Amino acid sequence: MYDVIIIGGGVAAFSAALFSGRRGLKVLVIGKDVGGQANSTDTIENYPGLEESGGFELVSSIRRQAEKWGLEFIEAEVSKVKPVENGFVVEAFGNQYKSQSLILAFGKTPRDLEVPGESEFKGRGISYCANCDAPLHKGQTVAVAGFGDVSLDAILLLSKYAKHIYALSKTDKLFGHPMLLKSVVKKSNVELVPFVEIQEITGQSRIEKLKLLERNTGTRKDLLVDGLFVELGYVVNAEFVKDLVALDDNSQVVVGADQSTSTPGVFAAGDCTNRPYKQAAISAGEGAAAALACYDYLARLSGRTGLTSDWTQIKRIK
Amino acid sequence: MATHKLIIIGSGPAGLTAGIYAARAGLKPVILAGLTFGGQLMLTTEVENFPGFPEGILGPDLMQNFIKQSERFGAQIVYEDVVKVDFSSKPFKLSTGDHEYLAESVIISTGASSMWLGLPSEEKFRGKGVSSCATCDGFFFKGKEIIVVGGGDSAMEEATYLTKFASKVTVLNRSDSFRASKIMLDRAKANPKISFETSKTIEEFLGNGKLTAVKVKDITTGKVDERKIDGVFIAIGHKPNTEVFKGQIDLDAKGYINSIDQTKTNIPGIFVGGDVRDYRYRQAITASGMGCMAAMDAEKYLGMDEA
Repeated sequence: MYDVIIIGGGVAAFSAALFSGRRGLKVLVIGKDVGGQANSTDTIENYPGLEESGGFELVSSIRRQAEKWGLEFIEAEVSKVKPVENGFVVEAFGNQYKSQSLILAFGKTPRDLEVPGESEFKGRGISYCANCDAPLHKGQTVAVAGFGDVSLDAILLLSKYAKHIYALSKTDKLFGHPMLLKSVVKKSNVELVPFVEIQEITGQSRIEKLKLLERNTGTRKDLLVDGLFVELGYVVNAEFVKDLVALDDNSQVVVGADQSTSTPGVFAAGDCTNRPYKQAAISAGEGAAAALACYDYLARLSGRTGLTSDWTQIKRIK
Repeated sequence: MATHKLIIIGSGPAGLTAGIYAARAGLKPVILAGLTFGGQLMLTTEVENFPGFPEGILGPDLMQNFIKQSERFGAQIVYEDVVKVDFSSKPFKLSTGDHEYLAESVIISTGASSMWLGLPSEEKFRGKGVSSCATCDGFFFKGKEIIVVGGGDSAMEEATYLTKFASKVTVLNRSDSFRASKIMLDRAKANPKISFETSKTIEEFLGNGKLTAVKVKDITTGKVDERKIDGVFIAIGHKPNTEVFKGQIDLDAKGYINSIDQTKTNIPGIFVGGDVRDYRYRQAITASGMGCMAAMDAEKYLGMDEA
């Protein structure tokens, strides 16, 4: 029996594990992978306090930090979560784990293009996060494959850094908010590539070439690029908790200001929630807040003192 | 006078994280860091709970990292205290006494401070027997006699915690009843090391370089007695640093800034992050996360203005 089971393997999950562990809770983390969405980023240079870090390295270091406070980790995909008396049962790869409370931090996954070469060059030139990676493409040539406002946002952001941007479209134009479209048209380094779809992505150690099919003429052509931004939105795989907590229309977990969900004892943090921001620093902060809210919940449940600030182990300079 | 796109007030984890994100987004933020910059972490040594630093990091070193990182992306840090703001029209006006600043958007991240009794002698003995942080300083009072000032939950929590170290803890409360919740009060009352005195207040702290005694006044009788003591913990709560924003922006009853959707305030273009709106978690990383959100929301706000 664990005090808390945390579902996920990214920044939010391990930050939650760190703060739960420091509060003396018995913690199990079950993650499909280690890294989560941070893995899709070459280099994180905006995580506060760290000059530069790989996405995976950042998550691994938070995991190591949490392990100092007794974290147990199982790499497995959770298939089912059900409430039972005095807690929850989590099923993963045929095994059952029981806990008094849950923190959902299973993140969200950017929607893939689903073309050959994509998985090979993820994090090696293919990015799903313009906010994270645009500044890494200063003076380079990049393409944006996407749809709607998120895609236009990415193009606008990239126009500040990249030398040339191919805006790929399956039709003869881009779609999105008229004001955003107006701004995109004004950018001299953005070139619309109409009627195309990507058929294959190739390269050596990093992305080099997009093999395109021109849909209106049926001809094939190649684009040489240093980067590809895929902006097709995100998929949250929240199927396994849909009977447990309230989800919004995009199947994101609805959270309150204190990271609580619609079910007492279940908290959520990071990209799987309905908050609009998707950044490592925010996920780490939400993971910490979810852990403290969870501690508060468990403490009150057992009639102990609730939450006070977690300044233990921090010694003041004399 | 030039109008800045974004001015950030405060330089703790929330303000500097906002600075890092806003600078990286090309907003060229000005951070009004204050004369004593870096926030509460500047007062700490080892920080073990900032995610990403498994070996721990010194509080001041962590804040130096934040400052360098924000400057590297183009933030301008000014070591001045904001003394006056005018948010009634745009651009927003901020004054540090020496200089005036104009901004299209503002992030408030001025943090919170422990409340003190406000006696001149109290200031003199801070860190020399007078403290506001039991978990920071309790260890130094092993086998000693101490007083905890306050009557709320945090006073009970601190008193109970301090019995781990101190031989005797006296809770001194100004009024004749306690604000603390029943469960907290009962717990403290059940502890044989804790005794209670009500309607009493400290009038003066005494000692020679180090606290050795206090003058305690009985509010009902007016009588003052002097007694030997090794330490006094002030547990009368935290106070958000919002004095300068009174009348300019919506505050709650305790003076914290009322926020909508995490970072927004009642004035479009003014955003908030960190302990100045969070009296619950008060962690460096939670403040950082909120600072990051505030920067992203400010960027979005400025982008909409532009389009």
